[in-house]
Amino acid sequence: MTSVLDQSFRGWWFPVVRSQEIGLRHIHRSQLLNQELAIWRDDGGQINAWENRCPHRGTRLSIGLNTGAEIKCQYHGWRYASQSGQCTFIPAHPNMEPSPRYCVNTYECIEKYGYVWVRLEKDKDKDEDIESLFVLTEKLSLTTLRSVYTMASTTRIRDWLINNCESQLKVNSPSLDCSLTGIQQHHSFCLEALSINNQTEKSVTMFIYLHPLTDDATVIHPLLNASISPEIRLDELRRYNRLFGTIRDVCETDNV
Amino acid sequence: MVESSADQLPSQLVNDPAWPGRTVVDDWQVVGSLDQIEVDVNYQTVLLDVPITFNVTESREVRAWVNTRCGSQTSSSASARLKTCVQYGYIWVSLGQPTQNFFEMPEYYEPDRRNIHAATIRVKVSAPRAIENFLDLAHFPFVHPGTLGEEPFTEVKDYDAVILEEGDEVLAQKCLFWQPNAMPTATEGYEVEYVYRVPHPYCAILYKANAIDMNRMDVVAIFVQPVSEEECNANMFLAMIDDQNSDTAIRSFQLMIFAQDKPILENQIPKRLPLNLRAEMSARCDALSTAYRRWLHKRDVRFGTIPQ
Amino acid sequence: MIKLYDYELSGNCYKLRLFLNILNVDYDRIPVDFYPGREHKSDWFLQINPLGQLPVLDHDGFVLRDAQAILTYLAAKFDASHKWYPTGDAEILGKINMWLSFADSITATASAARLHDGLFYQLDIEAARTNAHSLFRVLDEHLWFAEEQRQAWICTDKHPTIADIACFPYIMLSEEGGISRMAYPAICRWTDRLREIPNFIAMSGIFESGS
Repeated sequence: MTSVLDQSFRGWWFPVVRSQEIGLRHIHRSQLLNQELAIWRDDGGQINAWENRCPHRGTRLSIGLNTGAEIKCQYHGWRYASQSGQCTFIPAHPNMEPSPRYCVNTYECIEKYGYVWVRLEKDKDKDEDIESLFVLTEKLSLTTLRSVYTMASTTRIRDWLINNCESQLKVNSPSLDCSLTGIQQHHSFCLEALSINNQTEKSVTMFIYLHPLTDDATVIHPLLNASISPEIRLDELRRYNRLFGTIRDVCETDNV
Repeated sequence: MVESSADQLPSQLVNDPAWPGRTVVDDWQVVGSLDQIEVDVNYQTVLLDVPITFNVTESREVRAWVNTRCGSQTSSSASARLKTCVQYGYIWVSLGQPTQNFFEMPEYYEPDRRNIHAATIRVKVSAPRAIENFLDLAHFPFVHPGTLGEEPFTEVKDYDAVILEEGDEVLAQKCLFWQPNAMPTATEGYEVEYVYRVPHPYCAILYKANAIDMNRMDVVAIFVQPVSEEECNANMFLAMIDDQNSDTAIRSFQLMIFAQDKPILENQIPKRLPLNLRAEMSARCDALSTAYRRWLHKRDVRFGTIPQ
Repeated sequence: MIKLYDYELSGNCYKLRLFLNILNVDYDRIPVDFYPGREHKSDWFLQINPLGQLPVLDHDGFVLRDAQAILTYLAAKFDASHKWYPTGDAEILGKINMWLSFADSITATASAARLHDGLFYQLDIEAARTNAHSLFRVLDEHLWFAEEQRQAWICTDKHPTIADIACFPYIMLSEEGGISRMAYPAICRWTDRLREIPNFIAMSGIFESGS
């Protein structure tokens, strides 16, 4: 078993939240590999993934204010600029130009395939393009489904999906109207599966991204390799949410 | 058998180099307000990670002892008892052998002051973080808007912060800050002068000009019980010159202020206070916080801190 | 005149102060020293509410206890728009009352955990936190699907109802009871929206912005 704490994973790109969930003037609090993050968008649409900690007195920036161009810390009102993380204003010294060393720790982030992707460190040996995270090269038509927060380690979820899902899902939850089959692993945090609608017997490919929050908490980001027509969209979203909710419930119960 | 294990626990800890409470073991630590204590009732608490029990007799004698492994036992053996005292209306316990005199707070004895215990609140942060917040002026407009501060009056003018050699405490003077509604007695905004004292690693006292009689200073103190390295009980004490407001009004004002600080404190990362001055960025307004961190380092206070 | 028997740090009292402020209704606060004074269990207060609970509203002698009940009264009495509690719409009314009861469950769990952690109340803290998380999961899912249908509020599309006011305080105060909201991003977006309501006011422990 590999711990998610393995330092080498800090150089990997992870999807951390659906792009559309990062609205204007919001600050999304998350974690990646035990590192707390404050993710926010400026009014120009640029996305930021910052260490969730004011460098002044350690206050979580996620309890602060997104002004549209800066984050204003809730404790002392220090302001930090979008993109650079540089402190622009210290209210206690309104006439002082903040020194360049007053700066938030920022992380690389990009928006792709409907998600905000973050990596904590640049990986010198593996500076791959993010496209290579996908094995499929043809034009993708993607639908991000509801991300499911799960109080279980990434290893536990991955192992259960690979070894037990196909045989046990129906047993655990006979009322589910869809199932997963042909689950294969692309890398430690990305699986691919065929999702089958039990009524129509239609199947769709999907990617299952595992986003390790901490050693024992994971977000499952299911990404459908298909578009859904508007008239059945809500029903489909609910169907997949039930599926991954069931997977969450199973993985959260103790592994006997 | 039970009594001897109770007797041994503190001394075992004192000799354990890994126990961060080692360097403050002899100090008096607050464990409760006399106001809130019923006579002859056993109270359980945790001090410096050590579970203890205390009670107060009819004659105001305080007895405290370390809980044994088989639970809390009333110990009749004087040798198993911890050193205790009552000071400024609070119960104090030492897990070791107290050597220093109790810090001075002469205002407590001034006849025209009202001594009020506002409340005891558990906070999920280290005791030093709670003290440092109490010593901070710059947060007033953001955390206490409308009372202790108001944007855009955010400037912190330079003030004096020193570590006193003889008194072994930290002192800051000439701290000026504009406040819209500084006290329950205040009716309008004005620039208030503060004096801060830190006479104990986990206790701080502030003096601020009285809203009615500018020549006198009101006293607000925070006596913090270090429970674990990342949890503390904050006791808020006031010695006010105020013949207008009820105790309830004074208490609820102080409680409202502290309840505004609490979510800030519980959202500080890390929960322990870093003593390496480069771990967190400071500006001139943080002169007192910086002096406090230096002083904790000088005294080798490890419980609730991240040593350099 | 309206009198509100009130305690600053109570989320249930705050939801009434918040709603009265939103409705622009004047009232007098009668502070009750809940902690440390335990004045809500004193003789004089038990005469007003034999349950010994805050808040209580006294409107020209009409006395009402229970935060959720008082919200319905205030909305029906003072909201001329009838949007906060649309008494003419059976379906919405049913939904609102369902979520008012949900708000009570939040009080029984998240608020209890906060009293345990901050004010030394003795109770089964693990059960309180676990049950609060179960409720938050239900609400987060509900709000996520609401957003998918362009529905901004718990029961309604465009205009909030008293169900939103009722659920808000103890969710915002949950971290004081050791209940993190990190796993509930849809709840966090909803609490952002709620704080944009005109005449919103905060309380000690709740900031005007932030997740």
